[in-house]
Amino acid sequence: MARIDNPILSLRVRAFGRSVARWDTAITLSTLWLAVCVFILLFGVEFAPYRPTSIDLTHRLAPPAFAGGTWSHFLGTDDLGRDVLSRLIYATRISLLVAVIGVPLGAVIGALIGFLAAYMRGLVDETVTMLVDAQAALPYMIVALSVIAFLGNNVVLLMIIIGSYGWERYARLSRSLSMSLLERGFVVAAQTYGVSGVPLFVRHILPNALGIFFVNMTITFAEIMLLESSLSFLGLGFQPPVASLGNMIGLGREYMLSAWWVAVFPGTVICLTALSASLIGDGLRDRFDPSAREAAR
Amino acid sequence: MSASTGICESGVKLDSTESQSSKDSPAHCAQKAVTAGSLSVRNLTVLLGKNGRSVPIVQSLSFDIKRAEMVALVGESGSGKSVTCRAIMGLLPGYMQRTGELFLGGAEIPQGRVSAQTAMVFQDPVGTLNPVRTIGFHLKEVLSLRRSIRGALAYARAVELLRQVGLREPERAMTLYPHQLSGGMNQRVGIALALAGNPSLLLADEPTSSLDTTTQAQIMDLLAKVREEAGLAILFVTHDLGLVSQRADRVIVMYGGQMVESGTPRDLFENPRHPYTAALIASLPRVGGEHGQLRSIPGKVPPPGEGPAFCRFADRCSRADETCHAIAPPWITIDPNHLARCHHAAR
Repeated sequence: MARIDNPILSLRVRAFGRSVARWDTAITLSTLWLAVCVFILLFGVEFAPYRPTSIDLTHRLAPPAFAGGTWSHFLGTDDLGRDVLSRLIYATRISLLVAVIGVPLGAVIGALIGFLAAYMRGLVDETVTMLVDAQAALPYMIVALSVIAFLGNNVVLLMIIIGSYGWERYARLSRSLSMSLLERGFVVAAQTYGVSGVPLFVRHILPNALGIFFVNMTITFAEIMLLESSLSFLGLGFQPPVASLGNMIGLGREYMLSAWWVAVFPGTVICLTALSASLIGDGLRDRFDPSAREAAR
Repeated sequence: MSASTGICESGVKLDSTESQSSKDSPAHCAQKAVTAGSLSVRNLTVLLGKNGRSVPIVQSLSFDIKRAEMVALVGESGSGKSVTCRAIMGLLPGYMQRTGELFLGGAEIPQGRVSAQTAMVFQDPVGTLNPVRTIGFHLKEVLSLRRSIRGALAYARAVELLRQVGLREPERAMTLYPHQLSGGMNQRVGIALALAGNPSLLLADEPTSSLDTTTQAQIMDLLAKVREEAGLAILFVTHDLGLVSQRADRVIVMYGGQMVESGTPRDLFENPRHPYTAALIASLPRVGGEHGQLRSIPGKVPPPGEGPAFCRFADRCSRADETCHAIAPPWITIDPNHLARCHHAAR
């Protein structure tokens, strides 16, 4: 009882409670936004008022409905009279699709490479560590740009490049986690009864490292969206008839002063989605971090 | 190696074909040791580090374990007991190498492969089970890998194994996670897992050290039971000399990576011939003994690659003289089952 009467302690408890509540609001909003994104990804096309490529030259650069425009183009139109809302829906779908496919791709590649390095040691380990260090020292954007410059642009290549983003972080994470887990009793025990190689990783190591991987994936999610947008913005990502968030901004850049809505809406979507993914990742890290969990107990 | 000719002073003949390695091999002195269906360890050496700068952690270990025999491996921390276990299991980490031969049931255990005929029970029963997997998952995994039993048959066999190791409500236990069971229960599961592969050799690395005394006795009873039922050879690593005196058929004392004495618990406790064994026994607390400080052996086990080269115990031994620092101690046969490796063992 005396401890609860302690004013400093009760203040601390209250402050902690408030911070938990604050985080929960942010995370709830983030989750809501991502839910909207997932909805757009799955069903958005049904709600798009126009086709993303249909041109309406009589209504070029029409402002959004709430800024003096008409309701027929709620978020305005771009320089060819294409409906911004419709393009936004299609662009969000493409960009999210890239992230949804790309994130697990990089995670799986990186995690397996890291595990094999930890499991086989020796030359394999040294090679992987060297490659990881080389990748970490080089901005991925430059690697992506040069690969596209050499090999030309197509959707499959783009997916591979974007998907491989962050592999070195997964590899490093997976290598260190595997190294410590390989010394743990249950992994040694599993080896005594004949589990080895990749099954050892999938059945025994991965389930115990999944939380950490998952957190890393939410962080990479935001970054992959930004990477795709940057590439498209630079004109090396998805090519114009296809609408992606990045190339919408790239297009709108020229009209920034006269028709802000062409670039601002896709920019807002990128911002909100990246922020939501990061916030959720942060929240998850707090949940999965053993020391934070200990403190909450 | 020149000193090796005079080893078996008490008259047992040396096996000439293997005389090269006889320096460290008590098994040559105890001639009729090799039996079918048992473990034979010949000149097991484990080196730490790759060629060039490697350091021996376990040196030229040779011993046999017969069917249904329980052999205890005792010694201080750092004497190489656990490494010996892992070497026999075939699970040495990449930075360790083994030399020497291991035979199980007459067949050689190949280097660097996990032996399918060997199972292991570990010190920390909870940590030995994957925290995110159910007990059933573990059992079914072993059955599938070692016996190719899957599906409903595997379930039935797993339940039967759990019943065999004395777990109540085995069907329910199948669905539980390791943290939902007590340490003793988990160790029973560990033994069930070991038995699931139908091994002929069981390595138990301090299986009872983390359990309380009552549970300890139950687990030891269980091990004794499965040894009888399955005719298992058990190598049992422990610090607990009390347990050894009650349970083991034979004891091997290790020090600094070497075997220093072997014999029945009775031999060793009543007539320890190696000063290290004597010191170990003397450091046991006694019920009804005079009050005061517990006796201990001064100093500590030398790290691998350091300390005296011939008798590893020479630095800490009260009876050591120049011979001990200059010549490798021979194996002295006190009686056919009792061997000690000390210049002074003959008294």
